[in-house]
Amino acid sequence: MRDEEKYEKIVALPGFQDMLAKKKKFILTSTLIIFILFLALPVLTSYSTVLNHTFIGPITWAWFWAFMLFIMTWFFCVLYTKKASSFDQLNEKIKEEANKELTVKEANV
Amino acid sequence: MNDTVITLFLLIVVATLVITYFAAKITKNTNQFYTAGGELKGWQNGVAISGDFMSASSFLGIVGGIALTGFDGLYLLLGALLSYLIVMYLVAEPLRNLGKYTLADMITARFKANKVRGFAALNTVTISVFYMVAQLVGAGVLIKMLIGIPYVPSLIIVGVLMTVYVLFGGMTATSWVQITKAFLLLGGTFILFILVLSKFHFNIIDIFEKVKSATPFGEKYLEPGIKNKNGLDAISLNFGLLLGTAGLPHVLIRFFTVKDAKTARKSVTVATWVISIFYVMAIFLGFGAAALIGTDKIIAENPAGNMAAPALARILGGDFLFAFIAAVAFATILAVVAGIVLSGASAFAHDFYNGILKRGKATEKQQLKAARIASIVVPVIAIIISLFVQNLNVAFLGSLALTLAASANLPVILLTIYWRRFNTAGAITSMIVGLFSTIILVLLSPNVWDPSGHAIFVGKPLFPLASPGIVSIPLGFIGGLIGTMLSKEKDKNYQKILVQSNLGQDV
Repeated sequence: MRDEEKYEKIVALPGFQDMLAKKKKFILTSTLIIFILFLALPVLTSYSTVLNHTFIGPITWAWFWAFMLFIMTWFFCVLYTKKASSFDQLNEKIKEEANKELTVKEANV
Repeated sequence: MNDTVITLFLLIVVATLVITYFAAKITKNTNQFYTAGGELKGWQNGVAISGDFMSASSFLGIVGGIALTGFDGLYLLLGALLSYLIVMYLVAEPLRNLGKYTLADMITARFKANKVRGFAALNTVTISVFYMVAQLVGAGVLIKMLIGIPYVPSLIIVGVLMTVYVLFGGMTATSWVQITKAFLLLGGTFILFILVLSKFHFNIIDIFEKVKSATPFGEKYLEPGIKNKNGLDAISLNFGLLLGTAGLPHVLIRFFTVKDAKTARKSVTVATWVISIFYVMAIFLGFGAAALIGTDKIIAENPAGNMAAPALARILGGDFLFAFIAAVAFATILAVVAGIVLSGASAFAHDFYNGILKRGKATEKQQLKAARIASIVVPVIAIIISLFVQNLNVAFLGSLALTLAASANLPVILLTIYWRRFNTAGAITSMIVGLFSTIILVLLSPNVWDPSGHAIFVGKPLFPLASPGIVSIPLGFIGGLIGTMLSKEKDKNYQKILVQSNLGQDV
């Protein structure tokens, strides 16, 4: 079978489309949140002074936000590892499905 | 005292040469040379990525930046920290799945045109040379400050060492030099971190209280705005930092040193943890320097604050700790430049020579020879440039390289992986527009033009921002969009890219 045909078949598998949709949703949402939570800090510190209020004693909200960005990084790190291994499982299934489909087709030819 | 510094420097030189000796024994083919055989473990590559990325100028610069400018110093590191999430979420796994040795391999996996390979390699070489020059200028200045060797000999020492690692030991030597350096840097930072905390009874609130009154800025020290007067410039710089890492060739080629996407994922996760822990400690070293040394003394040693970390080491642990931190900074310089030499050399040898000149048909022997010649030529070019630009601001050179990476590389990488309609014309316009818009905007910026003569030319800058990221990065994407729309060509290869970037090449 031609390469092109093979890839078309795999892309058409419901499992593959399902995985793509899930992955897209996860990656887009996460990236958007990361962008907003990060860029909001320089925007707020450049154009306003709201973050200069005290959070605990000498620590202001700006510092709190900065430290939260570290915690956010760790959170998204762990989240990605978890999600990615669930995608790994989906991928295994897709590969099995693809192998079945492709060998059947080849037998028919 | 000088004897201790010199002994420790020599120890580092000997250790790295021993690594290179063993690496040279197994570096017999191109696969070994470019990717260490693709056999690194996830944690090893993760530590190597962090060793590749945490440069001496960032270590010394961040500690000095926090010490001298308080909150604004954070902007030297936050973008870089979060940039690893961008690498993790958008680039690492598809890159590993599609590529082989270089960034151009990944893009030409979809668009099999020599022009695409050529421009991708040109961007890699340009970014690598800028980045290397930034590191070398910084290295020359630092070594002069730390042990008193003048600029030119310092440069030559660093240049010879980095060439030797790459020339003989390829990616294997580079990786292990980076891993060793990462542990040294983390260890050194950790010792200083604990010593600083002990001065404040391990009470974080106490540290904040102390720095609030320790600097000439008073309470303002903990508030934003000491350094960044122009808000848009701060945002633009952060935008560039956030997106820059995901386009840096010497970081991206590290993902080819592991066997599959899963291991690439592990690598980027480990790198993110190591880098974040390092940054947390560096913030407190900055506070420690501000409170224990004082702003005036830090500025007296170096106006940019680059001596804050070594000076802090001297106050906390005497001459030996000073020597140790100086040696760590030296190891850091060597590890980072070696990584960049390798990325530049692989673009030259694998993309220009084998890919374009020989149409992919060079023999193993010819390729390895080309790679070795390139790993001499690339450092020589960078050293010659560095000799002429020693008075340029190092931080500016570094951020220029990152903005270039974000504008000229990242758009084409993301569009290649994720955009179905993208085509050859789009890929080429994206790379050209990203590269030249960044360079032109910088040439028109306040870094180059200053009415009172503080820059290269005297005059009013035509472009108001020092870092062009917020304009040039979108331009890179728009270039890709318009180039694609204007061409009638339909890319038939996307199904394959879609399958391989998600499932790997063994389907």
